[in-house]
Parts: sequence; structure tokens; C-alpha cells
Amino acid sequence: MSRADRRLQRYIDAILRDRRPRRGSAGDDADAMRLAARLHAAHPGAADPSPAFVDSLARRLRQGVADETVPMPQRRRFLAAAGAAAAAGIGAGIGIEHLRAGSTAPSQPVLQPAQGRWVPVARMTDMKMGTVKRFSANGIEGFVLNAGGTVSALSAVCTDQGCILQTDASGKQLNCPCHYAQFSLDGMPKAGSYHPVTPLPVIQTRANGDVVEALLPEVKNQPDWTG
Amino acid sequence: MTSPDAPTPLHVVDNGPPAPDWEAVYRDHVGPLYRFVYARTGNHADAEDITSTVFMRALPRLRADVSDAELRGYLHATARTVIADVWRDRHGTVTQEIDEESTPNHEPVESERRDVDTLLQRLPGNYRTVLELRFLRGYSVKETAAAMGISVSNAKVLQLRALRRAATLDPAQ
Repeated sequence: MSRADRRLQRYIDAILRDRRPRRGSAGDDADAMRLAARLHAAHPGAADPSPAFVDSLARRLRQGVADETVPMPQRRRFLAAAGAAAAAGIGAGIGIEHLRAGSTAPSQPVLQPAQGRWVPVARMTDMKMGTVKRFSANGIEGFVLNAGGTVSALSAVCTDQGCILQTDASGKQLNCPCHYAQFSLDGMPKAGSYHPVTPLPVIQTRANGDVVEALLPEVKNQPDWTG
Repeated sequence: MTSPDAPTPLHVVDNGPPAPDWEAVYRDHVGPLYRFVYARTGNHADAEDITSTVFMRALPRLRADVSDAELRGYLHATARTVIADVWRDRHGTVTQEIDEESTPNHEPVESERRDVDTLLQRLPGNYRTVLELRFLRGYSVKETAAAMGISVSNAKVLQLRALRRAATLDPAQ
């Protein structure tokens, strides 16, 4: 790899990890760098601001209105800030970066009700390859699905803010309607989901004859699922 | 008198233009502007700093009674300037002023995605695949190599070639 190759490689690595790219001449690759940023931003939802940032900027603007003397950030000041390198994220940026850095490989929890009961959630014969079905039973919102020949179940509650996930048009992933988090059918967050989310809890399942049962919490007065 | 069964037409009550409320204006514009900036920086730390700078500068205008289109134009023009400053400062490049006339609409995500897809369609198959896997699906170089059945070092080189080739086709550059 040439020096130019390594430089472009570093730039790509930085943005794919959501870091500020390092300082350094772009050489002949300025267009390639700009395109890398654009491609990276083309995910639905990937380029949205975090609600925390939107609120914090609103607060700062409110402060400006209250002061009546709006501090105009001069170009010099901004550049100095940007020039202080990737070192110091300003304002809300830093918290988010840390959050993301700290959530690289969380493990996938398994739903373990203290008082569990095997509850029917689907029929085996309905669970053809690629089927994803929502169920709602014993206080649990879940998906029972057949991905790759194995029937399994996942929590349908987004680990970000508790919104109920939906299958996307392709039926191959689960999308959050609130902040566009995306999960694959094994419950892991998809790369490119902007919000740092942890994996979806797995719900234990078993086949009982033609019935798929899930291990759910015991709930009094809950009518059984009857298909 | 109308009979009880007849549908009663609903009239839109016109109270004249609402009082300008800068915070509502801010909330209308912050998403589209942020996405515009993010697509040109590729990371959230820069996008947040630049978006903040732009809105701080624009605050007097948020409060003034300017039209939506006018404000959008101002926000995007300011953002372009600040982004160009950052690029010049960090990478020593002069950003070409691109599509200066166009003011992005409020659905930039969909049209942006379409533009990106169109661009990728114009690439040879393996170039398109490597960019899709790396950038659109967020695969690591290793995962990309495995998915394409090539070596990791080949995948590394291929993504750079593909990106450089695509950059020569990109109409927005």
C-alpha cells in the first residue's frame, strides 16, 4: 500500500468508527474522502442528530436569546476547537462518542423470568423459513421467527427507548420507528444504527408438538393463546 | 339548516400567520441541516460542532420574520462555509462549491439515498459490492472479504480503488 492508500484507509476507518478524521493533507483523494463520508451517511437514520444534541443546542440557543448578546462563534474559535484535534469532543459530542466507544460488543441477554411458564406463541406449521411473527403474551412483546431453519424468539422492545420494533419490508431485519435503530434477526444491532443500542434479549423457545412455546413470566388471569 | 345526516364541511380557520417562535423554527430546521452536514463530514462529533456553529450564527435570523426558504438557504450557505473551513484547516483542500443554487428540500435522506444508489449502479460489480458492504452495511474489512470470497488484503485494496473510481463518477463533486 502506498502512502496515499494508507492515508485514505485511515480516513475511511475514522468515519466508519464515527471518529473525527485525523489532520493531514488529502493529496489527490479529497473527492474520494468526501464520497466516503457521503456513502457512510446514506443509511436511513444514520445521519440523524441525537435527541440529546438537539435539546442541548436548543438550551444553548435559549441562553443566547436570554442574554440578548448572542456570542458569535468566530471562525478562528471554531477552527481552534476543531484543530485541538480529535482530542476534545465539544459539548454533547463527547458524551456520545464515549457511549458509542463503550458499547462495541455487548453480550446478548436471555430472558429469564423468576417465575416462568411455557406459553404457546405460534404453530410450528406456520413458521416457514423466513417467517417473522409478532406475539404479545404474558406481558412480553416478542417476535417468533424462523431465520435459517431454526425457530427462535426475541424481545420486540427496542433497547434504546422501549419502542416496539417492526419488521422491515424485506422481512430480514427489525427496525425501530422511534430513532431508526436496526437489528438483524439474531437480535444484534446492525452496524450503522446511529443510537448505541444493546442486543435484543433472546426469549427461550421449544417445540411442543405443533406448538411453539416460549418461556415467559407467569401472569395471573392471562388467557391462553388459542391460535 | 342542514339535515343532521349531511356532512358538515370543516373550515380551516385562518388566524393569520402565527407569531414567530424561534424554537419551533429551530426544531423544524435542525434535522435537515444536521443531515446535510453529516453527509459532508461523516462523523457525529464534527456534525454536532458545525451544526451548533451554524445555528449560533443564525440565531438572529431564527428570531426575525424571514421565510422558511430564505432561512434554509442561509443555514445551508453558512454550513457550506464552515464545512469548507474545516476541510481546509484539516486536510488542506479547497472545497469546490457544489450545487450552490440548490437548496436541499426537507426529504434529503430519501433523495440522497437514491443518488448514492444511482452512483453505485454505475460501478463495476465488485466495486459496487465492496462499497455497499463496507459503507452501506457497515461490514468490517474482514467481513467484507469473507462475504466476497477474497483475501483481506484484496478487500482493503479493492475498497480504495472502488472509492476512487466512484469519486470520479460522482456528479455532486
